[in-house]
Amino acid sequence: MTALWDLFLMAAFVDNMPLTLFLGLCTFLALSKRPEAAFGLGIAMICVLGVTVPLNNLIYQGLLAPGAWSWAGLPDLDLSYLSLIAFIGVIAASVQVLELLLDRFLPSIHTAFGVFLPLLTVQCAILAGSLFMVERSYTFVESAVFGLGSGFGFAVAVAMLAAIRSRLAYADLPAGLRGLGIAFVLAGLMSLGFASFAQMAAAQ
Amino acid sequence: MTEVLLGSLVIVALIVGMAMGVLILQRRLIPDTGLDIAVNETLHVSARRGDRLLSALHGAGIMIPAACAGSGTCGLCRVTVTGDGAGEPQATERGVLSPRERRAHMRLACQTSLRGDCAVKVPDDVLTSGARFVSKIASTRMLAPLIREIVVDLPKEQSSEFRAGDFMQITAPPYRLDFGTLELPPEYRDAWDIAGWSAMSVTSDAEVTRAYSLATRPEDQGQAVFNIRLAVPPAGREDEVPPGLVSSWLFSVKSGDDITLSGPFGSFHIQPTEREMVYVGGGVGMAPLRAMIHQALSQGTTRRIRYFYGARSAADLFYADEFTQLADRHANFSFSPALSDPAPGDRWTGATGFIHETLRAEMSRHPAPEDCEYYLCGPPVMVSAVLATLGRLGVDRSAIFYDDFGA
Repeated sequence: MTALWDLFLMAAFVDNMPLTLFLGLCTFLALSKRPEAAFGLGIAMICVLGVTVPLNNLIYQGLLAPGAWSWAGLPDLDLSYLSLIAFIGVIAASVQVLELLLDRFLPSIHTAFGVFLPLLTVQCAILAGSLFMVERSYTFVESAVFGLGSGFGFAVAVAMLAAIRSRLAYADLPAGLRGLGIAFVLAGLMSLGFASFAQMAAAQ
Repeated sequence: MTEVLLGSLVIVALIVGMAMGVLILQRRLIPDTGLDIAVNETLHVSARRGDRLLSALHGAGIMIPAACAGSGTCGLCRVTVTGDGAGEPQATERGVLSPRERRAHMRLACQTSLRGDCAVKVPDDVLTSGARFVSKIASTRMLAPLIREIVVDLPKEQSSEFRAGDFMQITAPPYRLDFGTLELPPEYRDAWDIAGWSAMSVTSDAEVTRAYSLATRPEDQGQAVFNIRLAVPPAGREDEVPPGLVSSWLFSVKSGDDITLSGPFGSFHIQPTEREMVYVGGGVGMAPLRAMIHQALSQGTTRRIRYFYGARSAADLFYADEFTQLADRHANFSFSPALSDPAPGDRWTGATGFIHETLRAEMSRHPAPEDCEYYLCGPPVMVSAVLATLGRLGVDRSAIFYDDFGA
């Protein structure tokens, strides 16, 4: 159990998607202007990562991994070259399904998500979650925890950045730094802060 | 070999399976039911779940104006929607609608996707004057290399009443046009050949509707006058951006041809105050300002009127004689054109530079620029430059009225 909790913390803070690995920066910067939008994006990230990483784990283990077809008498078969395209397909389909479910049962949350859900279909942090899962050979449970943890880490990071940016709305910044300029500076500073989590992991 | 075969099989099966799954789920979860939209409590329009409100209303012949063709930027398709069927305002709408409008259930019809029955309130004039009608073109003439004046005879039964500043919607049928075949006055032929416009062509396979401001003067009884600027792609991007679909068609029509119109619509009007009026226009932003200035002067207004108009070179400066004569006849009217890029042969002695610079130079000598009303119409860049200039002159935004072509 502690191992899973460690994995969750590692995924959320030490290997934070936007601030340590610099993945998914486009949505991270674009949707951190208003806290509400950032919150919506964060929830969407947790849902999508939490669903797609374990789902891709099942598909990888069952169909694509080397030796997955040994039951059919093909122990040497290695379909892992298909993982990228299969993962993207699974991500696209699960985002669609998630959207349909929300549309049907929770229309208010669906409106709150607005454009974010379809946007996440092509987000690199989402794909990276599945690729890391393969690289680090997680089991099904581990990949579920890893997906939720990464999503949680993304949500925390984007909420923090949005909070700082909305606070800075009242600051008298030099004209050239307003908007995206200061967002980059902030993200850089936050990234330095998150680097200290790596020290904690190293100390263990 | 098995690797490739089985691999292709697996990936195809996976993708097809997932697509089927999504489609089945969609059919199960989202019932494809008909909806009922009550328009102004009198008319009922049927639509399907997931339809855009704007297309549902257009399908029923209720021509809500939409200059941006449904991309949620022009804000012309504001309607009041009540009922659960419309859902919450989208993020795109929050950028356009003010908090007060949102509290009053105002929505952009082009961004509202229908989820259930709802009641829509549209302005009454959209229901009555919104219907399309066919009319005949009375005359056409070229005013500048890319600007053409089109005069339309309005049918007798169609009321020709309009408020200066209104616009009408013009619908172009499917057509194909080679720009080389256009009849141009010889003095513009060179400009067209040098810019490469003559080599362009445009194809449109569906009906397209765009909004054009009326430049009608009070003496143009029973007629509608339009200034059409041909929307040519920016230089160097001819392959990516097609020429304007409706403006190109309007460059090919001749007098006597049929033209489909609806309207007039509009919210850009002269305010009923006694304050001094300053008009700032650029390009075909001339049209509504011409209508407003002529109307105000013909009604014998005593308000002081200044008109600043920016064009690129003397060839692009149209109706200039008309305004110079007006300024001679009316002591309270002055006309200040400025050329941003006068051609060497223009022998231009007036102001040069962008129109907001001329405006700043003139208005900084004015004793109280903040007490005037400002009416702007022109390309979005001009409008934003003038807004910034007026901001620096201390003019409150509530005294500025503008029409930036819905961009």
